[in-house]
Amino acid sequence: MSLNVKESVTALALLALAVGAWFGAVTFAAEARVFPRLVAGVMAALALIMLGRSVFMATDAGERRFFKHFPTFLLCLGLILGYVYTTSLLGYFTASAIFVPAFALLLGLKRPVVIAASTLGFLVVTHLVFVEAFDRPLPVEFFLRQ
Amino acid sequence: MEDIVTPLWHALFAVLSWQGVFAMAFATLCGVVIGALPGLSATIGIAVLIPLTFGMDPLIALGMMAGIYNGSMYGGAIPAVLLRIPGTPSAIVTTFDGFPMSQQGKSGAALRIACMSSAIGGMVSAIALMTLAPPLSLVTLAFGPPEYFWVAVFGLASVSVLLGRDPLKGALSATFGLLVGTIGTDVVTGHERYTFNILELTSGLHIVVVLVGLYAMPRVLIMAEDRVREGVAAAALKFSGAKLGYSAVGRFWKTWTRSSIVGIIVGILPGAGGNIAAFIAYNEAKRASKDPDSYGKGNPDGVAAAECANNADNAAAMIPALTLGVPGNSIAALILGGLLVHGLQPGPALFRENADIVYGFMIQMFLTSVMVFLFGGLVASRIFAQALRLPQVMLAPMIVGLMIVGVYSVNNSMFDLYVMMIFGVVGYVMEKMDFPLAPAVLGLILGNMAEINLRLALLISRGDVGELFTRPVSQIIIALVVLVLIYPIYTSWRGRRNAPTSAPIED
Repeated sequence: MSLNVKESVTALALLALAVGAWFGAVTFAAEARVFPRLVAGVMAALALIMLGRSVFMATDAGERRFFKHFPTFLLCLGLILGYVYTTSLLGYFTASAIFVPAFALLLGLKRPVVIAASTLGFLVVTHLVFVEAFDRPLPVEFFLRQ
Repeated sequence: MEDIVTPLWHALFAVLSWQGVFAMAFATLCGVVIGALPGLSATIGIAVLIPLTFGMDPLIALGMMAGIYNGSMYGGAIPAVLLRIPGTPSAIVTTFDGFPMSQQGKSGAALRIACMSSAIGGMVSAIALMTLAPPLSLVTLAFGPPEYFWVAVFGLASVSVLLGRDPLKGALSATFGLLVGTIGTDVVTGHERYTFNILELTSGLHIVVVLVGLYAMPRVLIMAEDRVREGVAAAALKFSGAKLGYSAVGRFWKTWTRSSIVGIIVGILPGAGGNIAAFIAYNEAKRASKDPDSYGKGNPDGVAAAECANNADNAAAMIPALTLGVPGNSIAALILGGLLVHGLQPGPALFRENADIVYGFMIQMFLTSVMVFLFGGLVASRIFAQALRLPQVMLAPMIVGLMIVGVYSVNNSMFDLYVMMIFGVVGYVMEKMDFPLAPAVLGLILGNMAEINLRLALLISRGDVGELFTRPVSQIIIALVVLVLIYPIYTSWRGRRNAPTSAPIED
């Protein structure tokens, strides 16, 4: 996909967002809708300029890949989503103990000692810094729940 | 002058508590490591750090931010010198002469120069912050709601237009941030805006959640896509030619003076960052040199100019942030977010009501620069350089782990983690489409200020829009806004006029 097409798609998406924000403000009180509509109006105008520029002016003749490696992007996103979900199910440290090595392994790192040592080091340091030192509340481990 | 010295003296005692000194030292060390790792930067470090500072004394929290800020700016020089990989965008210019020095067996000397220059630049910049910010904050006493509205517009316009390659995309990024900032309950009428009946959205999106998503997550996704499975080999991290004594002060003082001034001026201008300061200072050093041809081939002055200027930008970028609420660069925008998180509002009231904190922060910017000098020696640089041995596919999940700790601890909410992911994907798309992220963050920060002051101004003038344009100070700020907006049109016109008609179109 050429840069011009990508820019056109982005401009259309931003235009849709601006139009949605404009009409989404219909139900707001008169005073509360002034600023969002002002911003949406400016955004729509800018998106239209971007659309016009991408359609009528050649910004880039060549192809530029959006994703460097789409399957890896999807895998990474899926893993992070899974990590967030399992954090609520299993607790932060249990989920991290699964996620950190799984991520490295699935992305092709084949050095078990490095993976194990790094994961252990990460868990120990995060526990010491965030739980012991800063007393940050984290999702409780499933085996510690009452 | 006495008005500045007295509060600084009082703040000094607050800063020098053992917890405060420990926090600064720890954060400076962390900053050097963050800066040394390509792909990570002070922006990500501070974005992840802010939520961890909730509940802390604001002065300790700000000391940590100052440490990461100054530390990472030096840390970026380590891979720049050893591997010709700039650890941070500001270290690009350091590679010009740092890496050739390394190839000539003088990597140790290059890092010593980088360390000393970073520290000097940071210290001079902190002194500029201490002397310029308090009187400038008094100017804002003459400001009413219309002026504050225009200041917000000026901040947004300058960051949108001057940051990034495309002013149109910068402006769109800012409007996106402004729109996101309107989500939640309207503070005046109590009406919910764009909440879609989702309870968690009624209090709006927390700035930290959006910041971590926009800044940290795209880096993780890009690091994963790069799939770099090998760290840097130990042999590549060996230092040599480290002899550099106090004689350096005599040798580099002219370069340091020139570069510090450049860094401070660039830092104060909203939109311009440390990389621009480093480029200008490097060119100035080359122009002033008796042997300009040696630049780019391992001239130590080139390293000194670049590192001094990019650190001199640091504290200076906080001058408009602390006085007007308009940050000079994206890191200053994050620190401004950190101030707001701790309930501190920029402007003259900050200097009057929270003198210990604001003056303390200025001292911390100075002290953390001194710490860069103390900790950034060769032994420490050797240790920090080892962080480069960790493969990026191992580093990426650890960053995600830290993001989750940070974002979860904002509201103890899983919902925030999903919001962070959404903004992460948005940030990724923005990066890939060359939309600068800083205007979006600034839109989020300044949106509230702009809206409240616009509504106040209209309320006071009973709906007369003309009131926004007739006051003299407003007119000056409007003129500045127009100037900033015209600037890219002028440069584009000049570029086209100067370009040869037969020149090929460059990618």
